[in-house]
Formats: sequence, structure tokens, C-alpha cells
Amino acid sequence: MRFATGVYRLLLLAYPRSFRRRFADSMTDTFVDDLANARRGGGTAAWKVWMWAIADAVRFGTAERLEAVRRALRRGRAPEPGHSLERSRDSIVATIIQDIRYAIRGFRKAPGFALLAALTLALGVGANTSIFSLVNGVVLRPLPYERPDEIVTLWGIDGRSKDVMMQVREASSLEGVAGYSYVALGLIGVGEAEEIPGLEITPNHFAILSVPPALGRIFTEEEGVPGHDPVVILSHDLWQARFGADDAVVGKRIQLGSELRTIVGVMPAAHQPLIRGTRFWIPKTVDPSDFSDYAGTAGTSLVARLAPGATLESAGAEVRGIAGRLRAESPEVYSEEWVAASTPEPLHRTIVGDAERILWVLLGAVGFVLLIACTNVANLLLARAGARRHEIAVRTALGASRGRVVRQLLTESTLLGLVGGALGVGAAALSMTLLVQWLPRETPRLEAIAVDGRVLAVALVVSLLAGLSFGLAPAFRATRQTLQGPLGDSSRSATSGRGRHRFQNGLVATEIALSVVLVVAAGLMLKSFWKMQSVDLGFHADEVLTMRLSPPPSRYTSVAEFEEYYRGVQEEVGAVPGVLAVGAVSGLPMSGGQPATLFRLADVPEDEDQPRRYSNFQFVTPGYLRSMGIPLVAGRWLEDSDRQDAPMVGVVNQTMAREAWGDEDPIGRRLQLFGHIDLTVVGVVGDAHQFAPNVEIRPEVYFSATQLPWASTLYLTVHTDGDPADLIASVKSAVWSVDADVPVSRIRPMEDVVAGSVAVTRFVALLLGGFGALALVLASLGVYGVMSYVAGQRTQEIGIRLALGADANQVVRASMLRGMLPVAVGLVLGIAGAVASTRLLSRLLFEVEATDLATFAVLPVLLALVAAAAVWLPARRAASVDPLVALNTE
Amino acid sequence: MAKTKYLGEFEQTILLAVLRVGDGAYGSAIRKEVEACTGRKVTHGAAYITLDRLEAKGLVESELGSSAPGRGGRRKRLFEVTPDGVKALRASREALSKLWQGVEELSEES
Repeated sequence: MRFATGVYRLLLLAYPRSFRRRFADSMTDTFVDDLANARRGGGTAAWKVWMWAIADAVRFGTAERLEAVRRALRRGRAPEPGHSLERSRDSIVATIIQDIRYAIRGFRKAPGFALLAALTLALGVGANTSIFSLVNGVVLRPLPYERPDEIVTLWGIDGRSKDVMMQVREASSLEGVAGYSYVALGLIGVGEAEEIPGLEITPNHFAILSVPPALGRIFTEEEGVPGHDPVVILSHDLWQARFGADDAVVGKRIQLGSELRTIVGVMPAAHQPLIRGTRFWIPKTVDPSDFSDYAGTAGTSLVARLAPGATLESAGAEVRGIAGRLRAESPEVYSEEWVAASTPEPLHRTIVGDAERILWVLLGAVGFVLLIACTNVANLLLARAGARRHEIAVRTALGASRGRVVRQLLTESTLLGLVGGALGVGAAALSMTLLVQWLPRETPRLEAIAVDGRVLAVALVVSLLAGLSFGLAPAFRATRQTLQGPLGDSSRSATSGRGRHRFQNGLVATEIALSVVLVVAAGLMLKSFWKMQSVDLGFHADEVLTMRLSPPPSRYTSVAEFEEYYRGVQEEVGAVPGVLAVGAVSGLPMSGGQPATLFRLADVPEDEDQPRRYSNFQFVTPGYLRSMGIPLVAGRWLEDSDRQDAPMVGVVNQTMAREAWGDEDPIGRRLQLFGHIDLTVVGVVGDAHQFAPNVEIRPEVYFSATQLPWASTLYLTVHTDGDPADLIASVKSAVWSVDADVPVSRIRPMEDVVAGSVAVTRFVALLLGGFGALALVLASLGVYGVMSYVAGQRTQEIGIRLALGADANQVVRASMLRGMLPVAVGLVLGIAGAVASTRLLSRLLFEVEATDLATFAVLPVLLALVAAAAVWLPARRAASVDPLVALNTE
Repeated sequence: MAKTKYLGEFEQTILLAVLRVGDGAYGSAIRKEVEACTGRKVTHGAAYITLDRLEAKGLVESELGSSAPGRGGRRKRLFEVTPDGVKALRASREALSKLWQGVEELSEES
């Protein structure tokens, strides 16, 4: 409130001093009352109170001051001595208003110029506002928890065992530790059966985050004890989508997974769960005297709040100490990597992660675009100032000081900046929804992105700074000329302001340099993206439909039931017209984390030393590999006969074969996985990408899903004849014809899954490509403009040359050489700058070096050609003018 | 004193509100009175500026009231209509009534 009062008192300065002396206090009091009332929720909204205050200050404040000036003039005598200071302040405000009026009149007379300048700026400011709102929403906005800087997540050390949990809870630098882990349960009985993601949390979870529920309450400690009535807290989204935002939902019971749970609370919409997409929370039930239950739940992450006085470093030291002590006691359980990895990380970094770097790079890139736009407008203003030499000379002759004229010119440019900025912000706000749609789905904090107060404030400052910056140099240059020059100069002087040309050349070189950097960066990203797209994934993604089936473990308790269900599903779906093949897999490729395990060769002597190697693994039905189009390279496919009582077998990918046995035939060899399961290799299939096109393929082993019960949830993969999307409805009904109570979720064509894995690269590539194109267009327009202007200035000189018998082509060539000089300088600077800065992108590039020769060679040449055209056209036009006309031009 | 000035519409509204509030007529009270009677929303700036102008014309007088408790000791400025102000109000009302006379008869006829 004190801040608001301060700002209000600043606003009051708009009113004349005499008025302020008497009424400032009363007005401030009323304002404070109104604002407090609004904040409490009564009457007018807070922003309206502010708006009225500003409108009043502008309207009445300036009106009163003008009135005072008018009164003084009318009475024909100086205002009272007590008001002398006020008068000079009045006059400043009055002159600013006068300047603004004058500027507007000037724009009206030259609407083309004003429009071009304003639009150029709108482009620059608008693009910057859009990207800044991304940076603001994702990175800068504080997390919606109480004192979020104190919250850390713990890496390495996790809630895997009683020992760990007990020690971590004792840590003095941590005020409270909560565990959470991902769980997906089927929601049955409320609309369509669907498996939804949620979090299993220790009861103190919400207390540590300090998030009050919107409805109901959070979990109590007792609810973490086994045997207590199962409860659940809903997310705002789930509450709205499935329960119609019903206020009476607390107390109702729902079937989640195998339990009937009572709803005890609903989280507010603003709450951000620690794992995106979380739609419910259930308490971890653990006997507090025996944490051994945790041992099975690998993957319990820990989140904690730093104790008062503790820092990240002190907590880190303590955590590592704990990890070290645990390893010392049981080195076979806790590895060295585990100890080294045990650190606390600020929650902000956990949630925002990589996105932060990428967004700052994008902001830098779009900043270049703004600089180029400003350079263009500066050139425009320089040209215009040149054309107004006479007007400025007259004003100076009539007694205006240089400072006065400069102030007037600066008012113009600031006004342009503000108008252009306002247009740009408007465009950015309107296109916000489009931009958010383009963002990769895994972008953290997507929901928080909007054009809010801070974004607007930054846009305002940027517009003002832009206006001042591109107006400063032209204003000073324009007023530098002496009186004699333009006024007394009726001679046909052929020389033009050399200084101005040098400055303009400097601007051109800057523009070109900035454009080169942007265009090269865009080229590198686009090339990366193109390379990613052309990677052979090892399976045919464009004809496969996928969906997730989650038969509830409560009804599918034995492997036989599970096997029967999936056999039935594959039969029914296989019978759907248009379906070519069906299979199922425990985890789709290209969709995020893939499980991996240590493996050893099982048919070599026990004492032989083997390196620690990991292999990915998937549980599949026999039809899976064929439905995905993964070819068989050696041996045989998995078959229905590979079931629970049959010998354990597996099929490996080529990378695994190479890794484990080199050139030897892997068929018939034996492997040991998970530390205790031995199997025989019966087949080798082609490599298929598991994570993303730019990630190396890892060794992989495929098991039969019925030989080793893993989880009953599998992803169905349906090879379709034609567009997979066409068959969604018929496949779904085929699945439900086997068992209508099995939740079906995540229905997507495989293409979409693959697209998701490259989404970030695509986003950055397209955005940078757009910026590069913008830069190219703006820079070439700028160069063209400058050249046209310069050519126009030199019309006389060219006329003389032509009249004296010079060849027109010679003249053009000479002009071009002069024009291309700054371009060449810009190109060299730009290439140097690009070499220095593209390393920022290296993490995003794929199969492309940050100094890729092809890109660096081709793109600057392209830019040079475009600039050359922009230089040639006006030169050609100037040289084709009639010498007589040229000589007569002043 | 120059001859009676004619009042603008808003000036009349403010003057009348000051009269209506009577004792303890400070800025906010005057504003609220106008809003309550006419339903018209008045901003602080408009109200205070008009009061300032009225005071310059001598139609209203103001002085700092005694220190009010609970406001950090800030004193409110209280307003009062001067005899000149009352005269100006009357003159305006008379002028208006005269202008209304013929019109009322006309509207009653139709």
C-alpha cells in the first residue's frame, strides 16, 4: 500500500502546486480508502481505481495548468511571485504538450513515414513482447508456493528405504521432507473409464509446499497409516471435468484403481503439482514404525523445505554426508554414482530445467530483430530530418535553442516508439493463444503464460527506450548544421553531409551484421530439424494407431486372466476392417523414459570380469514387432508358445547383439537381467529409436509379456491400412467388446508420439527461422531505404557526371561499390559474431556443428545477394535519370 | 466583487451537494452525496478541481478541520458555500426556471 501511495503522489504532480498544497492530502486519503476497499473485494476493481486516478491526473491536471497559463497571459501580468517555480514547471508540461501536438501534425502531413516507422517498431516490440511473455510465464514468475526459493528437490537420495528416509528426516538443514511418486490409476464409474495420472504422497506434502486446498482439507498424518479409510484429493481440472465443479463433492466416494476412496479435498486451480498433469493425490500408506514398505517403491522422489538459516550449499553438504555414511555401511546397496548424485536442487530448476536456457536464447534472438527494426527507423528519421533542414533552420533562426529543437525531435521519436509499441503489444496479446498452442507440450508452466502487468511494463519501457535511442542520433545530427548552410545556401552545392553518410553507413553495417547472426543461427537450427526428420526411426510411424489399456489389477489377478484379455483384444481388433496387424508393448518408443536394467552374459564363467552395462527392455505381445514394422534380422519372432511355463526367451535388437557379442551369432546365447533372470536369445530384430531421432539407440531386449508379469497396462499398437485416425472409433469399440470396464486412454497415432519427441527442436527451429526471415526482410528494406535516400541526395552529382560524358553503367558501378562497402563490413562482423554465438545453440543441434561450414558459407552469400539487389536498384534508377533534370534538382 | 457569475452544470451540482452535506463537508462526503442523489459517478479529480475553481471564484470557502483521529493526524479540508455562492445558485435557478416555463406548457399540451 505504501508503494501505491507513493505512485499516487507522483501522479498528483500533474496538478498545479497551489492545488496540490491544498488538496493533495485529501485526495491521497480518498484514493487509499478506495484502493483498500477494492482490494478487499468491494465496489470498484483495483485497476479501475488506478485508471480513474491516472485519467483524472492527465485530464484535470494538465487542464488546470493550461488554464493557469492562459489566465496569466490574459491578465497581462506576471503570476504571483510564490508561483514562479510553478510556472516554469507548468511551462515544461505545456511545452511537452505543445511538442506532442506539433509531432502529431507532422505525422499527419507525412502519414506514409509515420505508418512505416510505427509498423516497423510494432513488429519489433510485438515479437519481443511475445517471447518475453514466454520467459515471464515459464521462468520469471515465482512458483505458486509459499516462499518457493526455500523448496528443494533431492536427487540421488530418494525415499527408497527406511534408512534413507530416517536419516534425511533428521537432517538439520531441512525443515521437512515429503515423498511423492507417480501413480496411474483407473477412474471407474464417473463417465468414461480412464486411467489418470496422480501422485502418491506422504501426508505432509501439502504442508511443506504450504498450499491450502480450495475445498475440503489436506491429508492428516493418520491417513498415511495402513488400514485407514482410503482417501483422495482431486485436482481442479479433474474436479471441473468429471465432477462438474460441484461444491458438494467432498465426502463422495469414487472408484480409483482397486479402492473405493472418499474425496476429502480439491486443490485450487492455481496450484501447480510437482509432476505435470497430476489429477489426484492419494496418501502413501506406510507403517511409521517400519519404512520397509518403501523399498519396493523405487522412484519416490523427495521434496523438502530448507530450514531457516540453511543454504543450498549447507543442505547439499549434509545430504552428501548422509549418502556417504549410508554407502559406508552398505556399499553393495548404495553405489558411488548414487552418492555423487545426491544433491538438493532448487525446485525452480527442477520444474523449469532446460526450458530456461532455450527461452533466454530465443529472447536474445528476438532482441536482435528489435535492434534491426530500430536501426531501420533511425535511418528513416535521419532521412526525414535531412528533408526538414529548412524547417529546423527557420525555428533556430526564430530563437529556439538547440536543446528545444532536440527535445521536440525526441518527443516525435518517443511518440513513434510508444505508438508502435502499443500496436505491437496489442498484436502480441491477440496472438498469445496461437503461440501457446505451438509450444511443445512438455513446456513447463504452460498455463502461466499470459500478457500480464510485468510484460506490459517491460513493453512500455522497451518502447520508450527504443523511441529515445533511435531518435537521439538523428535529433543531434539534424540540429548540428549551422544557420548558413540550408538557409543561405542557394548555390548548387554537390556535396552532402559527409558525417551523416558515415553514420548511416554505420547503421547499415550494424543491421547486416545482426541479420547475419540471426540468419545463420536459423539456418543451423533448420538444418538440424531437417536432419532429425530424415532419420530412419526403424519402424513405420505413419500407419500405426496407439492407445493405452489398463485392466484393473483387482479383476485381473492372474497371468492367465491377463493373457486371455490381451489375446481377446488382439483378436477383436484384428478383425476390424482396415487393421493389418495388432500388438501390445509396455512402453511406446519416443515417448519419454524407458526402463533399463543391468545385464550380464549368463553363459560365461562366473568369475570373468564383465563391465557394468545397461540394456533397455520392453514387454511385448508376439504381434508387436510386426505391427510396428520392425524387421526380423536373425532367428525367430516371439510367439504365443513363449508363455509362463516355457523356457525364458528374449529377442534383442542389433545394437544389443553388437554390444554383447560383437560379430558372434547371438542366437542361442544366454543373458542375465535384473540380477537374477536368465534367458535365451531366440531372435535379433532391427534397431528402432527409443527416445528421439537425435538420441543414440541403446541395447534393447524384448520379452513376452506373459512370461514375466510386469504390469497389466500395455499400449496397443495397431497397424492400419490408411490413416490411423479413421479407425479410432472401431478399434475402441472392439477393445471394449472384450471388457467394457477397462480404461482406454492416450489414443494417438504413432506419428503424434514421434512429433512430440522432436517438438522442442521444431519449435526453436521454426521460431528462429521466422526471426531470421524477419531480419532478412527488415535489413534489406533498410539497406534499400538508405541507398534510395543516398542516391536521391546525389542526383545532382550524378547528373553532372552524366552530362560530362560518364557512362551510366560506370556510375551505377561506382554507386554500388560505395553502397556495398558497409554491407561487406557488416557481413564480416556478422560472421565473426555468428561464430562466437552459435555455440549457445550447440545443445540443440543434431548432426550439425555450431560452425557448420555449409551454413556459414551459403547464408551470408545469400544475404549479400539480397543486399546487393537492394543497393543496385536505387543506383540504377538514379543513373537513368535525365542529366538536365538531375542538374536542376536542388 | 464582479457581477454574479453564471454557474456551469457541474459547479451547480457540487455547490448544492456542499449545501446538502452541511457540517463536515469534506471531499469524499461531497462526492458521495452527488453519487447518492444523482446516481452519477464523480471522480476525485473532477470534484476537487471544481471545488478549487469555485473557491477561486469566491463561491466556496474552505479551511482545515480539526485533526481527525485514526488518520495519522491528517486534517481534512472542510468546505462551506459563501453568500456569493448562494446568490449564484439562486440566480442560476431563476434563469433556468424562466427558460423552462414556456417549454413545460408546450410539453403538457402534447
